[in-house]
Amino acid sequence: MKRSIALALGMFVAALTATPVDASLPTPASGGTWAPNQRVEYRWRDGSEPPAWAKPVMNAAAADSNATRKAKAAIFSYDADGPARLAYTDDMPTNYAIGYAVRNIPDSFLIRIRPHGAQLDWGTLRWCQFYNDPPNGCYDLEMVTLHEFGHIQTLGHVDEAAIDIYTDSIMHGSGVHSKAKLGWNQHEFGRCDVARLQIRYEPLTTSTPISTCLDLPTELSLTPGTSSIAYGTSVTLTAKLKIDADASYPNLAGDLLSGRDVSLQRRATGSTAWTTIGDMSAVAGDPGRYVKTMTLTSTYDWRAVFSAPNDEGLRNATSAVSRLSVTYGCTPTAVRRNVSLYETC
Amino acid sequence: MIPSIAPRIALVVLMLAACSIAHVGQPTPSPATAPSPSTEPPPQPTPTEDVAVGTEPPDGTLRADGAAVAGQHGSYCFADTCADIGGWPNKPDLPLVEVSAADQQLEFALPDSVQFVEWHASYSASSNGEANDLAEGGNGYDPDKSYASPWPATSSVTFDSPPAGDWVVYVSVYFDGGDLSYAWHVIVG
Repeated sequence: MKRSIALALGMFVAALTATPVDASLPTPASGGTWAPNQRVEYRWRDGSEPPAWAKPVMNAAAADSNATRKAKAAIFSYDADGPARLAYTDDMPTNYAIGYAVRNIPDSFLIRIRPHGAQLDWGTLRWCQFYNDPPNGCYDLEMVTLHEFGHIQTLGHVDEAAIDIYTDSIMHGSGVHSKAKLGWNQHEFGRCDVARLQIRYEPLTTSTPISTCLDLPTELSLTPGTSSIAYGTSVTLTAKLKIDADASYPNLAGDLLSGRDVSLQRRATGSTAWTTIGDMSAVAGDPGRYVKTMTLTSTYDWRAVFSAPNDEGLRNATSAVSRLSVTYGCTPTAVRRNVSLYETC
Repeated sequence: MIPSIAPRIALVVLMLAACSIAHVGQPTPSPATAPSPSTEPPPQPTPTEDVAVGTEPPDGTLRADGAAVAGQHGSYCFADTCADIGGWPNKPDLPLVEVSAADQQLEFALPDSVQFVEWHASYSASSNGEANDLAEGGNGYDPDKSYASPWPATSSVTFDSPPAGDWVVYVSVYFDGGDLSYAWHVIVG
């Protein structure tokens, strides 16, 4: 009986601990992608220019996309001669849409935004930025335009059942939230939007934080440079941190990770206890590489450790163990203090 | 580097190569339909900025006792074109499907040429109200991942109707080329 209770309790605890903190999935996406960091300029569509109050709002949405993509996704900016177009128009193929996006990668795109006051089959469209004091029920034009830029980046719509928190994405398909529902004025991509952009375009740089909507294994190697070294000389240990080559997203597998905290640990030969010696330093201009220079007087086993931060979708990694033997210029008389040999000749 | 092309080509090649191989341990999108080897939507004309409108999405139908009823289109992404709704029409304005009994099955279908891999059905008492899960399938499919075998796809699924009452039923489907969503006014019992 006790055994059964213990087993049940154990299973319950295991079930609790085995459940991810959150299980949101990256926002779906489809179609071919823009070139890495491709600049795509847009202009106002002839005959469908937004009113003066709307133009800066729509430009702000482009800036929001640029600032929060955290990936080598496309960069959008206004240019009077740009090939892509933004339109403020009722000319849409449906009587229900408030935003409409057509991408023509790698050349251009067309975004249409329904005008303020349009009568649709679900009600009257009101843009919040039209008002000095926006009423509840209005839609935030900057957020909706950012949503359309998300489509241009190839994002689709989230399955509401696949995300935990509404603000994990701005790519909602079941009706965009109006004021003052949660996320109604979100002016940045959600973490699961960023996850997909990172999957499809790779992170912006090797030091860009990986979205917490991902859960990627990492791989850490440690290279001592030599297996033996003379007593009292210095050696530089080098670690390399990257996303595991077997990660399920081919685009991310093997990507180097810079700017993370990698520490160096050692243990005496024959011991099982590891001691942290200190942080390894990132090497400028050499992504994913971390070094620490040590002056060695004894033989130790060494390893590098990456403890993934809570604000990244990465897993911990520990390198393989490397033994670095210290050699002596003469035969030591082996004065043993603790576990170390000291040269006495 | 064009990140998404290579894995997609690899996925399609794998699908073609393995289309006759039984799938072991893979989720099936529908309890009532056989898996299909393809997740690709049919070829569509490439939209350009000179196209007055983008590519129209296909109708999705819901069938209970009688004829299949085309649903109200919701937000979608299809053939590089996306549309976004601000909300669903009121329940009485949605296409009506009458279900004689609560234990009856509903069948959602797209044209045979459009196959999906993941789907989700839900219902609520009113349009844009809090939705309750009804059924789902194919969860976890991700076209950007590398798979050892193809993910089953289908153009129709069946699921239990909601309990007796007056509801809005929503169906969303996801495939390698985008997503589609539909709604109906469903009276059960």
